[in-house]
Amino acid sequence: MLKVQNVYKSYPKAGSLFKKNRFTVLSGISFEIKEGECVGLIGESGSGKSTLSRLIMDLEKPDEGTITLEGESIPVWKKKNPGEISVVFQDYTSSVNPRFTVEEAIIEPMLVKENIAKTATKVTQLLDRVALPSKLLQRYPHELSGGQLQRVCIARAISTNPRFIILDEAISSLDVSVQAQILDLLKELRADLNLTYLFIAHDLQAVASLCDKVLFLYKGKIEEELLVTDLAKTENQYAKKLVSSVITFD
Amino acid sequence: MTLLKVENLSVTDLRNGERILHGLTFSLEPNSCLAIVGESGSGKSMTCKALLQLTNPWLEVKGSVYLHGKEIPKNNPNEMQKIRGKKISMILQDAMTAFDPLYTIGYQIEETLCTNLKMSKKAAQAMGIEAMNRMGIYDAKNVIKKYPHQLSGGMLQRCMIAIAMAIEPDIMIADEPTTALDAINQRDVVEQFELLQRTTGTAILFISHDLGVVQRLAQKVLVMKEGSCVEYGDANQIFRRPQNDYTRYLVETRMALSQPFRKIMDREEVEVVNVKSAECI
Repeated sequence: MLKVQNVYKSYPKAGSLFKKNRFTVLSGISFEIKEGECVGLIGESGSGKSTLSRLIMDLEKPDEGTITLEGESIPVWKKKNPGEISVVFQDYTSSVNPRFTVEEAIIEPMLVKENIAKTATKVTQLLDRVALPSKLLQRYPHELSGGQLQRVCIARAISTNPRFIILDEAISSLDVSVQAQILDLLKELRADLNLTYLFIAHDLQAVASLCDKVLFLYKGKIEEELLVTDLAKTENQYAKKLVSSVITFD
Repeated sequence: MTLLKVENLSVTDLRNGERILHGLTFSLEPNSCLAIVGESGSGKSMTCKALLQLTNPWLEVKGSVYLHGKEIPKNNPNEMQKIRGKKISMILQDAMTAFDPLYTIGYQIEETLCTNLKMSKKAAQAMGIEAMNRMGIYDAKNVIKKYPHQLSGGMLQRCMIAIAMAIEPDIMIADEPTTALDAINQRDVVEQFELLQRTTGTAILFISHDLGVVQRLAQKVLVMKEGSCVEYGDANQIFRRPQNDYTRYLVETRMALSQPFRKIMDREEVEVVNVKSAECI
């Protein structure tokens, strides 16, 4: 479904005018996501995970290389399939307009496809879908807990019936206990709605519980790509270090 | 003798009469680690702020805190200033904002050590470098010349622990020191705490919502929910046989997160684990 080929991205260093002084974030990224797959992208902070997700959403253009969805470039694909790519960000407080109620926040993306009359019933269905009571509809973002607000963000992301969702550190800033619940929700949604996920994270345990495949991003390059079930067999130095530094609970 | 004893610690918001902490009682033995666990908003950070008398003026703190068997007086800023830093030091969650971005790490280390230990700048610098070496920062001479934005979160966190360690406090309060870090840095920081426990007699009050980290470090655990203590006791006992429903819920959800990974590591088939404990939220 998604095909990323040889993508480069660099930003100018602060305070420099000339092209020479650029800071390379991604250098030669290539990978593929098949329909219905869930791929985990893992790397430390500053390794270029979020840059890659912005490139895939066409919020920025790569310096070199191509990104295609079902064989077409992203802007063309987005025009043909409105609302079929969604994203959930890490920082739930800043990704919801504080002046919107929960209802308005969920309706907003739906207006791309449908008229306002149809949306009202769907909003309650969506809230139900993410296991939130409908009495929250008229609340404002600051009146919800982190886990609840992240559920609203997920409800909003699935409101346009997307096929592809990017989860950019979507659970990283939640409590561990809430993380487990959101992971369960994501698993359920994936099975029910036939979604394809790109799950960006820095926690291998979350990736292991949700994804089929893992990509290790290190210093702008994909260091290793393997099936989650083969995590223990990795030969790559960086991947090995990550796998061995996970603190489990038993 | 008990190092720190907290009796009936309550915090009330005077603006609306809301009670934030409901009569917490716990104690900390020398050379041990007590972990306070709970979800965000349960009052974990408020507990340490109240201990150090760093609460906002509109919050009323009640109850008594005994250090070395002597009660810490209230409304006595000078006395409290002597305790903070030297006797009880604190490590904050967000290392990026805990340092002043306008000064080098070296300057901030010197400043802290000079004020707390009344030593010369030169001695403070030497001591800072030594402490950083102990923390596993081997190019400390270069690191002290850097500004906070030039270092990674994990590195800053280690610098902060190094400063706290150099002062050699009786008690170190660590407020979610690993939450903002990625797996590799998290592991490093946890190992530093283990080292600290082994090499010095410093008692640690460790605050976290990650039971995995707590399990590695703590001997005793205090579980908090909505400002009250729901369970308090031996760490193994609590994790193996949780008595309270809320504790059981925390343990179960953490298990659910770890299980798939552990199974892969043991090369077994992965089965989907589902948590349905919504009534506890």
